[in-house]
Amino acid sequence: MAYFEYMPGATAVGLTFNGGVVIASERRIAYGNFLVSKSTKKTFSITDYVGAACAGLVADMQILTLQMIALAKIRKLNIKREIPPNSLAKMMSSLMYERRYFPLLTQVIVGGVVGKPEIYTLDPLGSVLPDDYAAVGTGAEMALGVMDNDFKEGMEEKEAVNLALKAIRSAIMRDTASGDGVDVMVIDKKGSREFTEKS
Amino acid sequence: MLPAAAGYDRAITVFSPDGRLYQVEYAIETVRRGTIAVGIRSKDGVVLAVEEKPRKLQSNDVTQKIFQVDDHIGIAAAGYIPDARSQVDNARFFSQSNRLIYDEPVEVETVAKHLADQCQQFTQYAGVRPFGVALIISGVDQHGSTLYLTDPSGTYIPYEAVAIGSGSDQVTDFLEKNYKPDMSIEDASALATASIYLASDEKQGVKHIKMSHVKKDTKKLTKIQEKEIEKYASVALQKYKIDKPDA
Repeated sequence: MAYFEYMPGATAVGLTFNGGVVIASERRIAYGNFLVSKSTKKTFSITDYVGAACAGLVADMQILTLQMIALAKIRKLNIKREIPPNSLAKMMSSLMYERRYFPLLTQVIVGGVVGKPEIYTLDPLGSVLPDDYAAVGTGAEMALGVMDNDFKEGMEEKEAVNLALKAIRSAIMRDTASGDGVDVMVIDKKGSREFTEKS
Repeated sequence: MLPAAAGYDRAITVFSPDGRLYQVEYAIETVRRGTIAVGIRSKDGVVLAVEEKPRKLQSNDVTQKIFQVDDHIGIAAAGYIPDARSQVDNARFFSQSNRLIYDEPVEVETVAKHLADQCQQFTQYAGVRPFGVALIISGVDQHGSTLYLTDPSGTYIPYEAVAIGSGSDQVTDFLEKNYKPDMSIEDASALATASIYLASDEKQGVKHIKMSHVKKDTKKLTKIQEKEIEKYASVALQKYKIDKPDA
């Protein structure tokens, strides 16, 4: 299928720590041997307290997150409180499962803090898998290898950010589809902050 | 001039020249003539109480006017009760849909608004009649214990304590005088029982009283047994002296 020419690789990770979550993704977009972009953001802020990181077709992840941001705004107005991550993950899952036979080709990590820190992984058909840490994309195996080794429950924020960076950097070293720096989003009960690191 | 409504009460979708929808007002009158239903918020949950007058040989173990909608939500009705059943069916389906879409228990306000929207539609479409029932929708959700009232016009209003049905004006005065926000659920239940006595011809016994709680700690609707209602009744009779004509 012609699709796969436009299916860039990627690495995105998410992990929980004591009081928050870290979501991170690298910044490369490559169509085959052609490196299209070295500064693509694949982490998205959906509400002040929930974010997402994606791998897959860029158009699909952008449409999905923009729709989610819109739906989240309406939902929040209706319920007059923050939307918990499980609820946002489920809403996203419904959008994806609706397209069961013509799916959005993207994998997503949803993470946030409303009450307690939570991470969910979604596949293109919309399965919702809760996790303490997760990775998606062509570099996921490498990133997971690192996190399987180093992840501990109840880490401090700094430790968690470093682990996310280490996981993505490890993937970047062996996955040609990933590279060009790392976008990091940290979410805790005070809200979310974003910054970019070199790979 | 034709009698009062001058034909404007024939179609529900037509305003009278003085801006009234007679059919909707008649529906609200149906509620006013129904048997009393009371809802009270307390610091550790909500109380629903209704009066039911079963015939001597009627099986009295099934409550006709208090309905469970979801684990954490109950509805008490006054007016034309078969209409309440239809609305409750709708609310049950809506609650489960909401859970499927958002992966969390539906909020009381969301259910109240949904039912009120339904009522509103039935004031605007030709060929239908408005619901002849008002509902007290109560439960414990993400915002704590919550109580809403919907009526046939499609209004929905949050309350601390509310009474609907015949005698509700008197009971509302009584509640306004005696309700305290920091009441325990036991105190609120006694107050609810007193409210039923106030509106009812029966000033003793509990055969005509049905009650349910949704407690904050369990977030589950539970039916209150006759024995327990008797306890609330004895407290109520002592505390509020409702057997006197104007308490």
